[in-house]
Parts: sequence; C-alpha cells; structure tokens
Amino acid sequence: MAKKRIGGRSAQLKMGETIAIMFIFFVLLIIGAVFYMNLQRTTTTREIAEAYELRAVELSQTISFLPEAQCTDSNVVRASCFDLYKLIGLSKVAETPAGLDLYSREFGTTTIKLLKMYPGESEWVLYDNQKEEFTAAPVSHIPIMLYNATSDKYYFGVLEITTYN
Amino acid sequence: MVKRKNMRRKGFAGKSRRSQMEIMGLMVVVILLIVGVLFALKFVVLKKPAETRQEYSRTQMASNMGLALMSATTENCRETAIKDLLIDCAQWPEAGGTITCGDGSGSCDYVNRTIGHILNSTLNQWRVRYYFSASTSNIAEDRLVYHTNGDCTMERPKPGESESFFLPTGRGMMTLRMFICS
Repeated sequence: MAKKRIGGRSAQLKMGETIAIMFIFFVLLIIGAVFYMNLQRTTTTREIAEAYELRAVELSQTISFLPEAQCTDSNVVRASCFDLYKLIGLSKVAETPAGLDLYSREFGTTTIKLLKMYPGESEWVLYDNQKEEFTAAPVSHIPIMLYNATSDKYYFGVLEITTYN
Repeated sequence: MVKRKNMRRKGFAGKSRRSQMEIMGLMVVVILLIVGVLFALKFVVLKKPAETRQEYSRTQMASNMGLALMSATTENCRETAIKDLLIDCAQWPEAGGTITCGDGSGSCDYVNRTIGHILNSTLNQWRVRYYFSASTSNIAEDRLVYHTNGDCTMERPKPGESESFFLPTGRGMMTLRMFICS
C-alpha cells in the first residue's frame, strides 16, 4: 500500500511538472507570436509609407517633364524651366471635368500648386484632386524657373505637390 | 552498509548532474531566444527608414534652386538677371559693382539682398538647413554672397547634397555652391 502511495505521488508530481512546462511553453509561444505580429505590423506600415514616398518622387518627375509645361526654344527643352502661360493654361484645362479625368490618370489624388516667388508673389492651382479621407499629406517643393514669353523674363517659382496618403 | 551508502551517493551525484545539465539546456535556450530577439530588434525595429524621397528632394532642390536663382530677372535693377549682377559684383567687388539698381544700391548689395529674400521666403520657410555661397576664391572673407540657415555652415561641413554652378568673370571663375544638409 505504502509503495503504491509513493508511486502515485511521484506520478502526480511528474504530471504537475509536465503541465507547468507546457504552460510556460505556451506562454512563451504567445509572447513570441504577439512580438512577431507587432514586428510585421511595423514593417507593413513602413512599406506603405515608402511606397507613398516613391509615388511622390515619381509624380514630381512626371510634372517636371510634362511637355505641356516645359519651356522650349526652337523645340529644344530648357532644363527645370516652365512656361508660365502654358502652366496657367494647364490649370484651366485641369479645372474642367474632362481635363480632371485626363490628368487624374497621371497625377491621381494630389494637389499641385504653382507659386511665383520672385519678383512679386502669385499662386495658381494647376491640379486639385483631393482624397476624401487621408491619414497624411506630405508636401514636396520643387524650385523652378518660370518663363514669361511675352516680356522675355524669368521668374523664380516653386511647384508645391501635395500627395494624399 | 558501505555498499548501500556508496550506491546512494552515486544516485545523488547522478541526479544532481542531470539537473545541472537540464539547467544548462534551459540556459542555452534562453540565450538563443535573447540573441534571436536582439537580431530581430536590430534588423527590423531599429532599421533606418529609407530616405528615398528626402535624398531625391535634397538633390533636386539644390540643383533647381541654383538654376532658378541665377536665371531670375531682377525686380528693379535694369531687368538684369541675378547671374549678371553676380558677375558684375565679382568683377568690381571693391566698388560694390558697377551696375546701379533702381533703389540706388550697387549690384553687390542688391544681389545679396535679393538672394537673401528668395532664400528666406523658400528654404527658411520650409525649415531646410542649407548654406549658399558665391565666391571667386577659397578665402572665406572674399565671399560675395553667403547665406545660411541653422547649423549648416561652410565652416562645419555636414552630410548632405550639394550642387555647384560656375560663372566666368574677369577675376576668374566664380563658384556658386548650394548645399542642403540632411
């Protein structure tokens, strides 16, 4: 009888030990899973932000090389130069539903403003297609040369690009 | 009796060695876990975010800013471009330039104020740290134009993107440098 009791107690102890080990193992597993999920979430958020950043870069490149905005002299394009009157014309075209539809394929949900900084200050909205709901709207500034073909003068301007995330 | 005692001792020694081994095994597992977590922290959490847009923006900004600045026609200085005023200033720095502008100031003074005004209303407003200099020599005192924002100065070089422009003058090549700190 005494032997049986001792044997039963040791088995109970072993069972308890196994249960404790299993419990610790599952706790560690849950902590690991939570940690991994948090890491994954951080990585995904960062990847999304990077994708939007690249989109902003792509967009600024597209605008910089728009033929309907660049200055040309005998069909030779001048680097980082924009024709003021062409841009004003572009802003009027982009205001119309057909124009907005046409340019939305290129620019998507962004706002592009033209700021004349020197001499004098003026502002034109070239394209405006805001997202209804957005979490962030990073703004990129591109200094440009603005050419007034009528007076043959160059102004200092800035392209302000807002991309909606 | 002696045999039994020896047997017991051997049994205890065996058990304690096994438990020591188990503890060692647990230690190894814990150390491996810590190393794994540290690696994950190093490569995933503490990974520097990509600066694609920032780097591109700085490079493009330095280049475009210099080009647009040089070509801009002045407001009331005989419709000359800023680069022409800079050339005039570099050729006659002792007299403050030979071109007299609408407000009675010489080309050196006028171009300095104009560049300062443009930089103030753009880069300073956007909180960009930069320095802009125009000079025909490497001596700091001979700089014709020098504007800076924040702790980004020519004396204390910092990482960033720069763009240089060259204008030929009667006193040698003038170097315009637009440096944007990261």
